[in-house]
Amino acid sequence: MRLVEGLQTTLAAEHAAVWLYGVLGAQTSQAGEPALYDGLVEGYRRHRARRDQLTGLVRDAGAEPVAAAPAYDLPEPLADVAQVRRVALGVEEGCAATYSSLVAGSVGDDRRWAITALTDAAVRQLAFGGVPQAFPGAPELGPTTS
Amino acid sequence: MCRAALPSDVPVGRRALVLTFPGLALALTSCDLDPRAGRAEPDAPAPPEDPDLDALGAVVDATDAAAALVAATISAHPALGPRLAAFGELHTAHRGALDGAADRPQDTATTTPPSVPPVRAQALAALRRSESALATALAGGALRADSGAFARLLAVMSAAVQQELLALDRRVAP
Repeated sequence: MRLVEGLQTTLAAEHAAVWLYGVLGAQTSQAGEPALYDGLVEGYRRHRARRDQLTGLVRDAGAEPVAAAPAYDLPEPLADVAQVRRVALGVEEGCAATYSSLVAGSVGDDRRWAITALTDAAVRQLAFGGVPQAFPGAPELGPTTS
Repeated sequence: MCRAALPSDVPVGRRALVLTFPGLALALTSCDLDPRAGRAEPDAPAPPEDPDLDALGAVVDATDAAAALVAATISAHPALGPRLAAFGELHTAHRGALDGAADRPQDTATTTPPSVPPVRAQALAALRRSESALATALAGGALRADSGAFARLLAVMSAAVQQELLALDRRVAP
């Protein structure tokens, strides 16, 4: 994977994450679910910052940053708090997988960025009901269960 | 559309990781199977040494040391077992992945048993420091790794330790 392709893929993921976090936050009551709401706001801010950083990294690599889609499909309806948590967890799991790929396809400061982002996404999963995994972002590295 | 934008089809699998250590694989083959082993072959080029081989050994040693401290801490303070058992399982899983990276089990380091503070809170703090240091070392190894696949493995291992440390904080104290 060429570096610029990895950066673009990661940027596309960040666009989706920012959009999804915005939707999740809008569906969550700040008064009724303050901890979840705070987690969503923090996630939104973090991914928005990463999106902006990646935009710069792609430009530095001499490419035009991939644009965000007008909208993204929700993986499931947001009828209750549990579904909001599941979607947020899925966002972080997907981003962790993307970051781990970028680790493999980068060096130097770009790899450092990806390592930091991977760790943050892995830790953030716990805020949305996730449990620790042996290989967050790369579950196929673990023993296969059959 | 969201799933398409958040790819989970990471390109490097465990098998590929094995292939990132061709130097080690070649060396093992020549030692164990090659009937010409031991003959002077002045013209045969030596297989290139894998640049991550030393790092792999260091990570194996660090993982073994962390696992040993977990076991010793649980042995000295059985009440901590429910909170710390996950670290032992994590290190076992990581050790398996490291063995897979080298395509064979790695030797277990023979070290003196780690000392565990007699006071439970101090023992827990020492273990937390050990795991934090391991996570930092793994992240550093990921940054320096020559192979992208090896870097990814180490980064993921570091993230897993960080996850477990946060989970430890959330588990109810005995």
